[in-house]
Formats: sequence, C-alpha cells, structure tokens
Amino acid sequence: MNAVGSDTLFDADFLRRLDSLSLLARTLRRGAQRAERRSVQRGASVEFAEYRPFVAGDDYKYIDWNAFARWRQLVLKLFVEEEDLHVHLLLDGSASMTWGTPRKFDYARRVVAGIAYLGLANLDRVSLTLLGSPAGAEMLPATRGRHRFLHVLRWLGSREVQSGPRPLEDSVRGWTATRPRRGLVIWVGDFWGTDAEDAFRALDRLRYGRHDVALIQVRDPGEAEAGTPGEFELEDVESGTVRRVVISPQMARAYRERFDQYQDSLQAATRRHQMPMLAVDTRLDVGDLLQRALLTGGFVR
Amino acid sequence: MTFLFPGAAALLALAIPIIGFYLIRTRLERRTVSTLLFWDPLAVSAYQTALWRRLRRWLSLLLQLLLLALLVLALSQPLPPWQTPEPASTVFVLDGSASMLAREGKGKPSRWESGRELVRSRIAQLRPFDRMAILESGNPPRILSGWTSSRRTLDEALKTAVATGDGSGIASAVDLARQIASTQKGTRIEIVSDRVWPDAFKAGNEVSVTTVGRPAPNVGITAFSGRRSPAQPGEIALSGEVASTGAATSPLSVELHRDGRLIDVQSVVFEAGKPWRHEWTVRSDDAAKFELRLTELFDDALDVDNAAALEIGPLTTIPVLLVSDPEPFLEAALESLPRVAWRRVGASEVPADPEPGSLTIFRKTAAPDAYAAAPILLLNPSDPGFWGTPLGAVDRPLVSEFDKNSPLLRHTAMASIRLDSATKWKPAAGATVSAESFGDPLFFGRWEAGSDPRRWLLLAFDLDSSDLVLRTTFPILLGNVVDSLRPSVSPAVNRAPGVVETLLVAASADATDAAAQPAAAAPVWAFLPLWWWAVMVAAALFAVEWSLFNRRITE
Repeated sequence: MNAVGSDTLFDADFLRRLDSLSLLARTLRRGAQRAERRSVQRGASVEFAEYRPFVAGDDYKYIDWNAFARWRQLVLKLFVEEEDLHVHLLLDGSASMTWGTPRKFDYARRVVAGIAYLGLANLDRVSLTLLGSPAGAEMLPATRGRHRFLHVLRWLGSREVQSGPRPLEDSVRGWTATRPRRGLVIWVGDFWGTDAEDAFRALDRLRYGRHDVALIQVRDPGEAEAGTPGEFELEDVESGTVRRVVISPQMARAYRERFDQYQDSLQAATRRHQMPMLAVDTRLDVGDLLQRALLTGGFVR
Repeated sequence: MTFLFPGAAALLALAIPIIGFYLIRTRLERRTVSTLLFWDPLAVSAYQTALWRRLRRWLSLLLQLLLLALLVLALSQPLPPWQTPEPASTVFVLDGSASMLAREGKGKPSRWESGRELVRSRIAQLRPFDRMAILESGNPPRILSGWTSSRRTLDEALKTAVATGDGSGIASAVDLARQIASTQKGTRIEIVSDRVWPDAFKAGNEVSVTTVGRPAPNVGITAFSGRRSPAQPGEIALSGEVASTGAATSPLSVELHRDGRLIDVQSVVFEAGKPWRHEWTVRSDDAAKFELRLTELFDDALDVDNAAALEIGPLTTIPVLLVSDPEPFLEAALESLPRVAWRRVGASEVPADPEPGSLTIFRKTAAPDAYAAAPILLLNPSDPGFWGTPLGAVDRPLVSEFDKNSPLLRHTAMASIRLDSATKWKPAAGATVSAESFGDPLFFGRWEAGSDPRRWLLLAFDLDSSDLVLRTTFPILLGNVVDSLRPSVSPAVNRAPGVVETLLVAASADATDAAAQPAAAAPVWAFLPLWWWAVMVAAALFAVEWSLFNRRITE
C-alpha cells in the first residue's frame, strides 16, 4: 500500500478550493433557521441580538412580555446562539479502501480533510477517527480552530489502510466504546462489509448512539462492473479469500444487478433513518463533492 | 489421397505453441477485487464444477487443434481419389442447341446458363498445370478458346459463348473436339448438354457427358413453311405445325401475322399423340413477312419455339417481246397480265439476241436461230423451223382433244374455240401436243425445262381466223405461259428449333450413357476442390468456437 504524503495529497489548489467552500458554508449557515436544528447543545453562550415582530407560528416562550407591556406590541427577543458542535469524522481504513485508481482511501482522506477544514473554520469541535484497525480506532482528539487544520492534515497524511478483514460493525462498536460526545458523525468509506448486512448493522450502532449521521460513499468506477469476461481467480483484497469465477455476459449482468440491489438497499436504509448520504465515485472532483455536500444539507450546521 | 503441396503439413508444428499456450493458460489469471460481497450470491453459477472446468478447456483445445488441422489440410491442397496429380487436359463442348434455352420455371436459369455456370466452375478448379479448351456447338462449331491454362482467358472466352439454337452441329463439334484432343495425350472430352441431340448422333465412349436440365413441359412450333403456288404465283400457301409434349394441354391459340398485322387466329386442339397442323392460303404479289405466334401458353419451358417467321419474296416481272404487226387483241391481253412488261416490234426490228428470262411471241413470222434457246411462242408461223414442218391447211378444224392436265391449258376452255382454218403441222421430234383436231396438232411444243435448252410453243392457227381472242381462254392461256416462265419460288421455311418432342424428352432417358460417366452425372458442388471444403468447415468451426468463447463455454 502506497503511503501518500500530505503535501501531494493536499496540494495548494485543494486548499484554495476549501477556502472558497468555507465562504459558501458560512452563507448557508446564516440563512438557516434555528427551529430546523436538532443538534444537542452543551455549554452554549446566549446573548441578545435584536427584536422582531411576532408572527403566527412563533414560539410563545420567546415573546418579551416586558416589551409588550411597554409597547403594547408582541415582539420576539432574538439571541445570537453559539453552538459548540462536535463533528466526528470517521474515515474507513479497511483494506478494501486501498482498491481503485486513484485509491479510494486517498480520495476519502481528501474528502475528510475538506470537511474537517469547514468544521474548523466554523469553530466546531472536530475529531477524526480511522476505522478498521484491529487494535482499535485510531483517533485525533477533538480540536477546534482553523489553525489546527495543519495538524489535521498531518494526521491524515500519516494514516494508512489497515490490513486484514474486520467487520464494519466491530469498527463502529470500537469507536462508540470511546463514548464520544453526541454530535454530527460523517462517515466516509465504501461500506463494503464482510457480509451483506454488516454495513447496516454498523449504521444502526451509530443511530443508537443518538448521533446525527451523514454518509459519503466512495466507490471506484470499476467496482460497479464485473470486468472483462473470462475465467479468473478473484481475490478479496481485504480477506484474501480466492474464488474461481467464469465471467460470462450473463454473469456480468447478474453481478451488476446484485451491485445495484445492494446500493438501493443502502440508499433506502439511510433515507428511512434520515441519514443524508452521498454516493460518489473517485472520478468526481473532491471540491465538487464538498460543494454538493454543502448544498445537499445535513452535512453543515 | 494425394496432396499437391505436402510441405504444408509442416505447419502442423503450430500445434506445439497452441498446446503450450493452453498449458500456460491453465493457470488462471488472478484478479484482485475490493470485495467478494457481490460475487458470493452468484456462487451457484459462477463456481462451476471442477469437472466442467476441465472439460471446457479440453473442448477449447480440441476445437483449436481441429481448426489448425483443417487449415493445414486446405493449404496442402488434397486431391480426391478420382482426381490425378498429373496435368489434366479437357476439351469442353458446350451444346448451344435450342433446347438448351429451356427453363424449368420462371426466374430459374436456362439449361444454357446452367451449362455455362458448370463450365465456369470447372475453370475455377483448374490447377496451374491443367489445360482446357472450350468449343461451342453450332453449325459450324466455334472454338471459344484453344488450349490454355489461364483461367482468365477461359473465363473471357466463356463470356462470348452464345446459344445458336442450331442443334445439328453437335456431331461436327465433337469431331472438332477430337481433333483438338489429339494434340494432347490423355485429353478428356466433356460435353455439357441436355442430351437433346439428333437421332443420328452418338457420343463415343471416350466422350463424357455432363447433363444439365430436367424434362420439362413444352408447346412449340415445330414447322412453319410457305411458298408461292407454282400454278398461281400470286397465291402463297403457308403451313404450320404445333406440337406439345404434355398428354393434356391447356387450350392455346395460334396467331398468323402478316407484316405485323394479325390476319388469322386458330384455336389449337391436340389429338392424342399428334401434332396440330394447319394451312393458310394468302394472296399477295408483293413481298410479305409472315409470323406464327403461340398465345395463352401455360407450362411452357422453351420460349424460343413459341414464334416463327418467314419471308416470301415478290413476284418477278417477265419481259415479253411481241414481234408482230399491230394486234389490238393480243396487246390488250398482254396488258391485262400482272407483272408483265411487254413491247412490240416489227419483224425487221427483232433484237439479235433475246433478253434473258423473257418471252418472245412471234406472230406470223419465224423465229431467228438466235432465239432457239430462248422461250418463244409462235403464232401460226408460215415457215418451217426447229419447231416442225407445215404440211398444208386444215379447213374448219375443231378442237377435238386437249390436255386438261397441262398447266399451260389450266382453266381454259379450248373445246369451245371456233376455228375457220388452221395449218397442218408435223411437229419436231420431242414436241408435245396439247391440243389437236382429229390428229392434226393445233397447240404443241417443247416447254418442259430439261437438257434441251429450247423451249417453244406453237399455235397452229391465226388469231384472225378464230374467236380465241374474244374468249377469256385467250388471256388465261397467255397468263399460263407467262407464269410458267417465272422463276420457281423455293419454299420459305422458318428455322424452327426442331422437333418439339425431342426437347421434352427427359435427358436422363439416355441413362446408360450417364451411368457410364459417373463424374458427369454428379452435381456441381461435387466438383468443388477439397481444400475449399476444408476452408468452409474451418470457417464454420471458427464461428462455433467464437460463439462458444463469447458465451464463455470455452476459454
């Protein structure tokens, strides 16, 4: 497995693109409504901002009755709310992420770096976790502030995929065992489990931890197809398991159907549990992916 | 089996690398995938049994080796047992008779086209050291190409072959082929024909016959002829004959056209086993073209015998020189005759030599000796000559007897002529008396064309001393004399294709000859070279292999 240095992984163009994306994120955040948020807030400081006329549908508890007594007009007292949001970025480090050109793992690291930058720029507490290690999750503790971004890059640049098979559920269980603060969990990986239900069980574990979960699935374009016809020995890069397969046109069609079926199941599960999910392949520019994530909703607070 | 290029067998060594590649390919290519998650559900069909995996690879190797073997076989140019490796020389005789134009159905090639195609296929099989010559039967036969080994030359020559429709030349064509064959040792003569030949023709044992065509129903004109009537040249007699091969034929019509205009239609009803015949009489002094056509034909294989045409020439004009004083009756009678150009001269103005083909009438005067060999009519001459000697006068003679069968006296009423007087003659030896009065000749002469060139007639009484000029017998008699001088019109005969029955005879009727020549009776595909078959099988095998490979049944 090739280790890619942080300099080549996160070049200057990529960082400039992140700057522009942070402006977009701020604009989007300013337009968001309070009542739409659902995140758990702890230690948030509140200060008066301004009044605004009461309109039907506003919460009665925010009506300033003193102002009503003085002005005989219902007004709401608005506050500037500072959220101390925890953003947990989970990077899939299983061996299957080393597959593809470019490697899915490198692509996923750039995605995680971008989201981390947006979080740090927003003064959120951002923690990073590499899933898939048999010894347990490798973590970068929660950090805050844009100045910590270089630290984040170095941490990401020094990570590498983990060898050996490990169920996604176990990896997630290992992370939740560290009792992370509730917050927004953004999981970047391919979601190829050791069996057909592995990824779904892992998502359930995240859900049971009462985290807000968003998923970014990184795929290589070659994974959706069975490949050139013929007889081959297929070796699972993660488990090393070998299967002898005759790839015929009929077999290729069956493979494609199976692949689409799995994707549909994953999309249906995330939709059912209100987990935003983006499925992309590595041909998509990371900047474009981040912009799409911002506009999709669920990835920005 | 003999191989023309046995060195090609060395290419069988290519089997070694094929087997080598096969053994190398036995080790499967390993492909790394990110997950087997999607392959495991397909395990039942994907992970086939080891036995089948081995079989499919053996099958693949077997097909490839078989393909190689076929290609090597094709390159080695094998010869079947019935072909010899020695150079072959063949003279082809292409039958161009009318029956070869028959088709066995609409849109199907004619026998002639099939025969040409057969020769073309033989040209395609020609090896570089083989030689071939092509003849076309006709009358006379035509050499399309002499000895050559060039396929291109033979093909070009074959393109110039045309069916002449004349089947009488097959014997001379075979004779010519024998002459050509005598220049090359071991030459084979092959006739490509439907075996519809003249009865007298028999192909020899050294000649092989390749039969084309099968028996087919036919209705056709077997004879169409016409001629002017010798008695009445103005009348044209036409005769037509139509025959059919079928026992029961559909009704059909025969149309007679004259100069493109329909003049008669006859319904044809065949009696069992007999042809239909009909005769027409048409009057025409001018030239005329007659055409006989069959219409409303069904189940007819041969088109060429459905129409026949012939031309009848015009009547010739006979020059007549009258040597006489003016004689209005005689001149009027000559004037009334068609196609007669007459003129009168005095006895002193007689030309020295007679005009060829003319009739000279001498009245009351003798003919000069120069006219002895020319047709002359003497009307009551006074002097003796080569026609006879006068013996005296006969008073009030009667026409007691006359030859009714003589063409000169046809349609005349000589017995009713009244005569005042006549001259008694002693006719020259060999003269024939056509009319007499109780032994005294009144009309005699020597008129039959034969070894004696002299043709003369003598009327023993003067026109003034009888009422002959007042009767219709007179112009009729003159007309008969003039018409008898017209050149005999040879009958016009259409070159009909031949006897229709023979066209319908099954070519296989001569089965004994066909049996003696098994190669000749074989279909065209049997003459395709073995290498061609090897390539075809190899191509089919390759298609099968390709199909199996695409379906991953073989590897």
